[in-house]
Amino acid sequence: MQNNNAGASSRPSNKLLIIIISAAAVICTAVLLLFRFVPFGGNVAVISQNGKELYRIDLDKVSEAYTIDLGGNVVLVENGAVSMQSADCPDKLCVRQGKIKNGSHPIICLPNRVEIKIENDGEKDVTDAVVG
Amino acid sequence: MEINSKLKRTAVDALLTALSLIIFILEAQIPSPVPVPGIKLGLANIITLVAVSLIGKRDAGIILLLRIILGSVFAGTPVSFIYSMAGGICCYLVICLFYRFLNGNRLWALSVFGAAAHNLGQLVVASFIMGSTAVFWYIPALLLSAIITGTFTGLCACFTINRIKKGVIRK
Repeated sequence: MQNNNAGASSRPSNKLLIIIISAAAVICTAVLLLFRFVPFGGNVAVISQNGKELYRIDLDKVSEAYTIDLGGNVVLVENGAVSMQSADCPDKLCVRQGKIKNGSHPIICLPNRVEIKIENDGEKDVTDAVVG
Repeated sequence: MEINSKLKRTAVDALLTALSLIIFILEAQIPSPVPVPGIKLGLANIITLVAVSLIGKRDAGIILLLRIILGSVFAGTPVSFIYSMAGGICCYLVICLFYRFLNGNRLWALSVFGAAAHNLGQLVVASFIMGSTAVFWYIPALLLSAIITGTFTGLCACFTINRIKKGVIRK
């Protein structure tokens, strides 16, 4: 096959490629699981559209669930969690991402350029967390 | 597969463009199994890899460019055109850059690098369009998907190239 051709010494062996790419796959999986299951802290949902911040909601202070209509998207705000309830885009990927809480990765609706992320509420909460 | 005449070259380019366009449009009908934007099989990349291996980088670039333009006309939006173009150019550059090290039975690795470049290129464009860096949270998911789908499409391209070289398809 091709690996016996001239210049083979300057080319990485298939075995080396398999090791490198498998290692990259394992690292990516580990980081993905880290994002998914490790709580980073944070209780403030920040909703932005077109790169502009529209809402900043303290999720711990939400007593009753309510929705925010952003035109194409409807955001469901609950105590401690936030999710995309509906969207008018064809793929609905943002809806299928489910609820986010505790500073896990953001919900992004690319077609409507809507972004929901969880942030820490400034330094006040960090001190509270340390004291508490 | 020697292509001597201009006519033959035009015909082969047109054939491969049509093939990749069909694959691209069919693939666009498959709903995504994971809720992460940008993850797809990238089957049309098989044609790019086959073209680079058998008829050269220049024609592969032309085929890719035509497929992206026509694909956006038939099954896309102006925004999806921008994403396709960004991904396609990044993928093509990486394939051209590494082809001399990763041809033949290493083509699957070339495909993985191409897919990763495609996804990262799209991510950069997405961050510009969204006006936010939050999309970079998707880097691990997109790299993992590039490894899986890139290996698959790369192996498909290897098998296709071997078959064409044996003359199964030429007649």
